[in-house]
Amino acid sequence: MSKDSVKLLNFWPSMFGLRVHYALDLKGVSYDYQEESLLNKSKELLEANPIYTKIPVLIHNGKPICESLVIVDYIDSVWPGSHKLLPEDPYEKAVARFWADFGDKKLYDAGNRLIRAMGEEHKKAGEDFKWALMKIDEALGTIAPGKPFFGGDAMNFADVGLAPFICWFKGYQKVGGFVLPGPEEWPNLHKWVDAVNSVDAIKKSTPSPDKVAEFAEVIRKRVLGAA
Amino acid sequence: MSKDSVKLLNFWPSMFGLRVHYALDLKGVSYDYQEERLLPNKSKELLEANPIYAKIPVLIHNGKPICESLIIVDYIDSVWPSPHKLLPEDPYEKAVARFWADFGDKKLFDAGSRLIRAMGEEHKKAGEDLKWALMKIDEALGTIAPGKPFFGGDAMNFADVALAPFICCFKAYQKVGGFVLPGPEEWPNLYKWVDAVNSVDAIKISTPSPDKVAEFAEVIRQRVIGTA
Repeated sequence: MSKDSVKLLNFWPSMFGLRVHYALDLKGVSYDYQEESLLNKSKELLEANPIYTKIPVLIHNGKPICESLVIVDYIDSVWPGSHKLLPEDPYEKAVARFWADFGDKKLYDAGNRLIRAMGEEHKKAGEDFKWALMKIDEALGTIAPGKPFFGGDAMNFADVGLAPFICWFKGYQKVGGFVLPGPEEWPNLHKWVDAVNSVDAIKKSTPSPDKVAEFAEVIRKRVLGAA
Repeated sequence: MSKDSVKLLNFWPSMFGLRVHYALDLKGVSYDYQEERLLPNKSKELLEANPIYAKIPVLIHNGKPICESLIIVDYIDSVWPSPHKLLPEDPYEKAVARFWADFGDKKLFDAGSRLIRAMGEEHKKAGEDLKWALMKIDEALGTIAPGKPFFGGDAMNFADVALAPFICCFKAYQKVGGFVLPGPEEWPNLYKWVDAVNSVDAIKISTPSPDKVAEFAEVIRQRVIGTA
């Protein structure tokens, strides 16, 4: 039986790449890792993702899969047996997909503006970011009351979609110049953060929040310098 | 056996709502339709069904709301897998279909939106970006399903359902963009695909007239230019 060849092309601070790490690590899939320099993209990345030339890309037995949530969905289809991420029930599956997508539309979008915007737009980005986390706190209380994860007792597609933003909280607070509300205000969110951070598979690939914050500040200074 | 209650909240020019129409119509699912007036006020039902985004389309199935067009299409395909399965069984083919459906959001809708709302240089770039996106779809059709009419081969799949709603917007894009799209000599696969989509009976049920869509786009464009 020939061995599966699984390779992840990524850039270490990317929360999108981290989604792929999490899916593979939760399922115990072995893979090779290739760090990409985004200022000098490899020929392999350009050939694997000619439409967007972005990471992450998963290359499985020579075939490239692009776009983080498409990749996580793919991983769940190829390796369903270990730690299924998508619920079987169509409605629960739709809810999980919705919250994973919320990570892109609301969390990433606000975080990106926190790093790159100025003045009033920067202030609004901070408010939008906090609003998004508040919505996640509410959703956890509604979807899985009394449970640590969106998936109940174990991480599911929504958890994998959103968890990578946790290691960015420090960075966002630094560049945003605010402190996020604590467990008194967002009890479900903070319980969720603790639960995610306790999962062994998650610890494998999560970059240090200090390193991420340092990276975020470097980008922020560059933006301010060019403004 | 109690009857399924299926209702679509939508706004008729929305290509996102059209994706949901296409999925339901291809599968022959009966549903109620509720036109939402987005201005001046959204309906209480819409705000309750989609509190996070307050947007259409929303599918309400037996009282439960599902939001975000591609998630709705995925849901429809799970609840009514036959007839006309939209997502391929093979994981890689499924990933390819999801990728091109998503491309519709990231590149086609985005460029089209800027064609309607942007000015000057940004407006010109939006036109170039839209043409680039259509060229990429033409190339993809030739690679993924060579010699076949659809991304799904002989029948429309998830990628086709996601991208097809933009077809009725081509006239509108050209009008507000002030250009004429390249023809079949340049984009043979795309035009064969357009003809194939437009020949599907289920597609004809809900597709708004391209002239009406173009008229709507021009109204929005005039409003944007007026306030610029």
